[in-house]
Order: sequence, then structure tokens, then C-alpha cells
Amino acid sequence: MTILNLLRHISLKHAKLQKAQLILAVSGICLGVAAMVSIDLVNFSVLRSFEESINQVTGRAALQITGSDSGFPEEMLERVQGVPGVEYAVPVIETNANFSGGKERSLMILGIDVLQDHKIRDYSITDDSAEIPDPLLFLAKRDSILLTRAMAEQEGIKLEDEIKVQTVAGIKTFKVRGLLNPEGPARVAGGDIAIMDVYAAQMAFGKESRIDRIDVSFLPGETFDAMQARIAKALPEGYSIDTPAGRSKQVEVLLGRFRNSMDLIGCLALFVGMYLIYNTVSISVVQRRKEIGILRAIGASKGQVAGLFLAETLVISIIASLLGVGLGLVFAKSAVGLVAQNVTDMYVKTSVAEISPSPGRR
Amino acid sequence: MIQLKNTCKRYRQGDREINALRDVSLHIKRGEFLSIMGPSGSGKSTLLNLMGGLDQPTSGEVFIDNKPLHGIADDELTLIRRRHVGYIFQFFNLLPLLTAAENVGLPLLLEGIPFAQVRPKAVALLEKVGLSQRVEHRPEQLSGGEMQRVAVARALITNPAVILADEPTGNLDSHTSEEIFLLLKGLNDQGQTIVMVTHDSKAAAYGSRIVTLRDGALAEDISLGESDA
Repeated sequence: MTILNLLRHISLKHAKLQKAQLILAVSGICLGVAAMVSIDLVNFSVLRSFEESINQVTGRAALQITGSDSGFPEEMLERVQGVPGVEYAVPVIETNANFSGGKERSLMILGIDVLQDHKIRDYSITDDSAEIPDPLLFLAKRDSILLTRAMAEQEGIKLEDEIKVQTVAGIKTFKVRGLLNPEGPARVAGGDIAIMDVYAAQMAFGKESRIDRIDVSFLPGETFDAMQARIAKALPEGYSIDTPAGRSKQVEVLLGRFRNSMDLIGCLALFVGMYLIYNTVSISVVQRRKEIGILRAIGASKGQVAGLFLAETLVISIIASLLGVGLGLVFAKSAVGLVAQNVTDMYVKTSVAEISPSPGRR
Repeated sequence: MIQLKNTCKRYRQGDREINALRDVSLHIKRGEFLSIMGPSGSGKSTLLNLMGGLDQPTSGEVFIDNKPLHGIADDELTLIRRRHVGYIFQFFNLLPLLTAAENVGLPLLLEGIPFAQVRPKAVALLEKVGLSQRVEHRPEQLSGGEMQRVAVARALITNPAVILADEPTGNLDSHTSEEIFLLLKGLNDQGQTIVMVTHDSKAAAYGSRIVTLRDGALAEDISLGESDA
């Protein structure tokens, strides 16, 4: 009651008669809050963007089955598909190759079940995410390969061109029968990825009837532990049944590092904001030292004086913070696209190298 | 009304210890107009500050209306300042952003009374000190004499037991000073107890009793009866 009295008759006067100072205080705090909010928002959005790009490589696969370096018999695929709780299980052949175009360039070749794979990864050769002039020809011919549009443009490759790549099984010649738009896996590694049909890949890389990996998604309600146990029972010994590497360690380590640096920037903004609030209060206390003295002399208690300043600061801070949140949203919107895109590109290049560490890679 | 018993006040200034008051005993009766005189540094203001609870004695006792001011908590002292003492300062000490009426009503605002109830009282007091035309003026729009009248009105709003005035005309010209003295004298005639610090013997003569301090000790104590200047 008393504080309200003082707020109404003293603080309001200050606000009315010293508008410039009030505006300065409010905008100072507002900027501090805006910096904090926008950095946090950008931080969050960029992390989301990270996770998304990882999901694009592993797709919705909740579990990956791998064998030895030379792969494992493809009959295992049917066994896994028969395990209760499995939604989809798709085969993957994964190999690293050197593109022998102009300069040497490494790329990852994924052999996938072209007709099934979209159930796990976010793309399909049958819709807008790829340009394939003749899908039937692509499936029928064993030398068919899909390149990303980005890589094709960089290397000056057009549809129907032949390319030579060096693989662990020697130099192979493929024919580009389609281009992938930058969606799903084609976004990773700056586009250094090529896709083939799994059976063609088996032939090309000397892995007849063998596959490198099975990516598995679950029916809703199934847990990883339960599924891991069931699949282990269905398969012989010696198979590694794990979460997709990108989902666990990979994401945590890389995102952790990035998150730390973003948190540091967020802390900096927090300190700036706190300092601005502290500064605002201390300036007004110093300026109003005489006023405090007068109030104390005519019978204001220490509590009343402190309460007055606290209440003033609270009101100013609340108003300024609300404005700051709004401003932060605006800041974040204009910055987030740039930051997220940059970091995604940066991150994704690194991620591919670490997701698939295989012996042939230089 | 106000009683000091063997009051001493010492404080340190750098390495030196200053005896501002030495063993002062004084009894001020209800309705008195006491002038405290003495050269600068003699302890006049210190004495007044002890009476008003702005300061506490190093030793000895101070009572106002039989309530002790020595050795009590800061919050209690604050309440005594607000409710039982009206202060008038040399430099007016008005809040520059508040109107005359708000400045006068401030002690009651501190009690949590809404301004709507405080305002009529404040306006009445401003009329009493001759400022009925200045109710909504801020200090910067008032002359020195008018500011001090506002301060007098503020000192009166809580119906205090005593008004303490510390060189109330030290910042005013002689004509305006006389107006303030007459205002205080008028209040005293209506029964208001007043203690005023001054170094001007002509000013002191408005009082009914003059106490002189020298080096922190009582040197003289003269009652003037009903004399006027």
C-alpha cells in the first residue's frame, strides 16, 4: 500500500518528467533481453536443424544391424522383416569411392532398395525429390547411378554421362540416369553422395547376395531394448545391433560441442543484460541520493526506500522484458536462417566422415 | 516533552576523535520555543539531530514524550521521526518532482494513506502558511521563502509533538527570514513546541528560551518570558 503510494506519487513523476532517462533504461534492458532471447532461439533452431540433417542420413531407422566388414548374407533381411514389431527393414550397401573426374573427390555410394527405402528415409525416386527421366531403365540397367544435382553441377556432369569411380573393387564405370534434388540424404556432405539400386551395387562391388547393413524402424510402442533382444534371437551370433550411430554418440558429441559454444554466447548476452539492469538501478540510486536522504529524514524506513526502488525496477524490467522478447523474436527471425543453414552445411560435411568410417576412405 | 540526560556524542573524523556533545542535560517543556545558539562547530545541529532521531547519542539518554530515542532499532527511530517530529531544514529538502501539496502530504503517504485523503489536509496547511495559490506548483516554481513555507506545512501535517528547525532561514534574505520567524512564532503561540538552531541572535530572540552551546557543552540557558523582537 505504502509502496504503491510512493510508486504513484514519486516514480510516476520521474517517469513523466524524465522521459529520456526512462526510455534509456527501458531500451537498455530491452536490448539485453532481446540479445538473450534471440541467441537462445537461434541456438535452439540450429540444434533442431542439426538433428534434422542427421535424421536425413539415418532416416526413421531406430536400429541398425551390421555384420563384419565384408557384409552379411541377404537372407538375414527376411529374418529381420519377420521379427514381430518391425515396421520396415531395408538393406543398405555402403561404400566409399573416389570420383575420378577432374580433381579427386571422395563420395559415398549407397546401394539401397529403391522401391522400399523411402519408407525409412525422406525421399523417393518417384516424386519431386529426384529427376529420373526413365525409372524403368534406371532399375533395369546395372550401371545406373544417381548423383546429387549439386555434385553434378560442380563436376559438369549431365544426365546420361558416364562417370568412372575408383572403389575397393577396382575402377567402375556408371551411367548417370538421374539427379537427386537436395533433400534427405542428398543434402549431406555437400552432395558428395551417389545412390544405386542395392542389387546393382552388389554386382558392382563384388558383394553378390550380401549386404552391409539393415536399417530397421519399429511399429509404434516398441522399445529399443525389446526389439534389440528379439532381433538378436532371430539372427546368428556376431551381428551388431545398435542405435544408428548418428542418433547416439555422434549427435551427442558434436551437438554437445556446438551447444557449449552457443551457451557461452548466451551467457555473454545474459551478463550484458544483467549489467544493463544493474547499471540502470545504480544510476537512478546515485542520481536520487538526495531524494533518498530527504525521504529517510522525514520518516521513510530503509525498507520503504528499498521497496520503492525494487518496485520501480521490477515494473521497468517487466515492461522492458516483454518488449525485449518481441524484439528478440524479430532478431532471431532475421538471423536464424543464415546461421542454421551455415552450420548445417558445416556440420553435415563432418558428420558423414564420422558416420561411415570405412577402410577404403582416404 | 523532550529530555536529554548526560548526553554525549563522539565521532571520528579521520584519526581525530571529535567530542561534538559533552554531557548535555536539557529539558524542553511543552509549548516552549527554544532557540539553540552557538558558533559553528559548537554542536548545535548534532543536538537537534539527537532530539529528532536522525542520530543516536554515544552515551546518555534522550526522551521525546517519555519515549526513549537512545538504543532503539532504526525502524522504531524512523517511526518516531515520521510521527512525532516535524523537521525544517536549511535547504528545504523538498522533493523537486512533487507538487507543493504532494510534498506536504509525503509523511502521510509514507503511512500508506491514499493521497485522496491526504490532499485536503495538505491544502489546508498550505493555506495556513499562506500558499493557497501554490498548491500545484513544484519547488522549482517557488521562491526560497515559499519553499520553506511548504517545508513548514510538511512538518505540521503529522501534528508532531515538536518542530525542529535547523537554521531555517540560513538560505533566505532578511525580509523573507522574518516572515518565516513570524510564521514559527505564530505556530508557537497556538501551542506548538519548537526547537530552532540558529547562529543569529536576532533570530534567536523570537524564541521564549535561548540555550547557548560552546565546544559541545551547555554554556548559557536564558528564559525570555513573553518577550518579542
